[in-house]
Amino acid sequence: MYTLGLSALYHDSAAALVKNGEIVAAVQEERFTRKKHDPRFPVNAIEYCLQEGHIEASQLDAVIFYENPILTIDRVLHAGIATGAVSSLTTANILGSLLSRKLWVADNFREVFGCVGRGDELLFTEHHLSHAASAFYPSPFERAAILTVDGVGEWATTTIGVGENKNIQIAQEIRFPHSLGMLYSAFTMYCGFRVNSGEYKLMGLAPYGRPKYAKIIKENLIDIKEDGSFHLNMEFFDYLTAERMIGEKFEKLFGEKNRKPESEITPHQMDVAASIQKVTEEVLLKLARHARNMTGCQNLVLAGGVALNCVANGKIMREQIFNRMWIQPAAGDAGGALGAALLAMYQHLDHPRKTDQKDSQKGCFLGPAFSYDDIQEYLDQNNLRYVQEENQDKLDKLIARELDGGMIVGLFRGRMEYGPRALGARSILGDPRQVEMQSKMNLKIKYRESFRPFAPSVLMDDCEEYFDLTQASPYMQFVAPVKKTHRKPFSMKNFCDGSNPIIEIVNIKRSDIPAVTHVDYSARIQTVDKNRNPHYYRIIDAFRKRTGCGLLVNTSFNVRGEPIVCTPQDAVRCFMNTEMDILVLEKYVLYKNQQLLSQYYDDGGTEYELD
Amino acid sequence: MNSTEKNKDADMERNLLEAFVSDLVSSGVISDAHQAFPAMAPDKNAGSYFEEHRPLMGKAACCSINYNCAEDLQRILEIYWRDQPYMKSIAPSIAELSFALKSKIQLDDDISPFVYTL
Repeated sequence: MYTLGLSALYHDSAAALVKNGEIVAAVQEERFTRKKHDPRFPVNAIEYCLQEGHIEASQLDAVIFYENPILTIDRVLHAGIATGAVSSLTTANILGSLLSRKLWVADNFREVFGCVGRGDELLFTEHHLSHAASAFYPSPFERAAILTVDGVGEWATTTIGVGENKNIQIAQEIRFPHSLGMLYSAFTMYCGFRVNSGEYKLMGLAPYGRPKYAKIIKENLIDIKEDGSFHLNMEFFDYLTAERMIGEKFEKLFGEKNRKPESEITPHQMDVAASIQKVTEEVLLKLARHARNMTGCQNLVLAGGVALNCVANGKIMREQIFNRMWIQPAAGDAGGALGAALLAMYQHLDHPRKTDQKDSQKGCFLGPAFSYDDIQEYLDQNNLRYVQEENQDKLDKLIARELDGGMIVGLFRGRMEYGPRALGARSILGDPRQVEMQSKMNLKIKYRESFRPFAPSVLMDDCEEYFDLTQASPYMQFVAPVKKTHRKPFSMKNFCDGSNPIIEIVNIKRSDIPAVTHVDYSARIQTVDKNRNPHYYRIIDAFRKRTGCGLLVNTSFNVRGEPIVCTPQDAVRCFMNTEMDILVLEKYVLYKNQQLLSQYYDDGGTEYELD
Repeated sequence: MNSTEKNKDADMERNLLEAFVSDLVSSGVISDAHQAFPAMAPDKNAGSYFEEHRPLMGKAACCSINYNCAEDLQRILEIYWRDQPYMKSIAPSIAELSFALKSKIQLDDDISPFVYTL
């Protein structure tokens, strides 16, 4: 039996195909269209899923959309009416888009693919149920508490429930406009980052500041109860009535206007970031404790965009509120497609569920791979110079040698990752021992803000040597401290007056793996094991054998504003337009200094909007 | 779609939505609907802000919603809003508007960061 799940027309459109309970394919539309967070109907993603499954649309037993547009219309209308904004252009625009697009997903599907599955009908579910399903079904748990937290679905913004075998019951919820995701996005905007894509930048900025506004936030903006439930004070937020998150009252509260995008980041933004991060962590910890008390479950699963806050995830884990945790790697709306597909499989089609103690999400390598022939044809057509290394062991050693020499290596191997993280299939790698690697990669490769830290991929066996992390983190979802034995003396207190530019702070060696050690000694960790990604494991192992260091810098293979690369063409374009030194496309190795730039045909890459 | 076509769509959208909003105001929906929206400010005396989850369109996790014409959609909306007479009264307008706007409005290339409120 085949089920296809879709998410679309919100942000991060995606499609996911499940066969008899097994995930066959899952991919975001943005990877094909090269438009970050592309919200449009995911034609390309669907096409890929059908190809990967070797089926036609008519063979799908169920096609399901990840949320219910009728309920969303209900919420938008009620919000507009309740706030008196129903006659505003904002409400009109939103309503217009809802009524003209979201109600017609079945027709869009039929237009392109001929029919909406075997029964030619589109199923719907609820947004947070999709998130809950995406968290529970791929997890290794027979029974678990489920916590979903995001901006908003139809009405719910936060839910708590239980998953048992193949049943999911949501018990409690918090409703719009009271939303932890919206609150975090409000601060994202206030600090000059882009809503719905800049939230993790805010998280990365937080360790530079002090949480001196946490009390002000709790006294004025959000009331948090002991069970983690909360209400916002909507007097300070404008997202119900206007196309902005915050108003003047919010700015007055913090004594400064919002930061203009791309302008200098000051200690004020750092302190604000630290403050909202602290408040968010408090809410999530309380929610987790409440979920434990309410359900009695020993396991916790998480999804919803706020579950991408891996600093908070790390704190929940270290509190040991639950014995085990599993977080959907595609925790945002793209993951809703997968959740919906699984929901249709287990609840609509009543397929039995078998939990997989290894990894039913298959390392998240659920997107397209490319053949040697495809790659070589492209390289030859574009006059690119390369060497082929057929021997896997020699290739691993070559990569390790170049990394040890300070080279930055783009790695393109196997099936593409699903979700926002690069996990070794579409990654840019560097030597974490070099203090200048962070600023070099930020400024010369990613073209992004210099304060942003990089993440390590560490061999699972070596994780406890370097980090205070005792459980696996294969999807880079937990932030944990660097072990004291690897740290160098450093304190942000010495820089709180703001007179030092960030780049100066970044370049101070904080550990013997400085490129992946944040200013508070934290790191967002990916543990790599042989089962999930043997190729990647071998590369890191080769680096360890050569240098004694069992980890690498791993950042996603893209420049700022661009989705992670999907095709060999995308990878070459990124390679040729940055200061990356080497590109490894499967067995093909390209050196930048060997390329004749005048001979390279640029097949019309896109100008990316800053995110 | 070229800019002329986009402008035509935008005009049509505005006209249709203005007519719809005018209906809403004149039907008294606005004055009745406030009661159904969550409170806009914290309540220090409340013990918890959690509400019991209510599946809003039936108990099944997945449902089909079929509407081949405006009357079908109207019926669905009226069933959903059966306990909210003020909302039920605008179901015909919503249904008609939906079919009139069906796939007419192109999603902007410029994705608004506020698309989450959709």
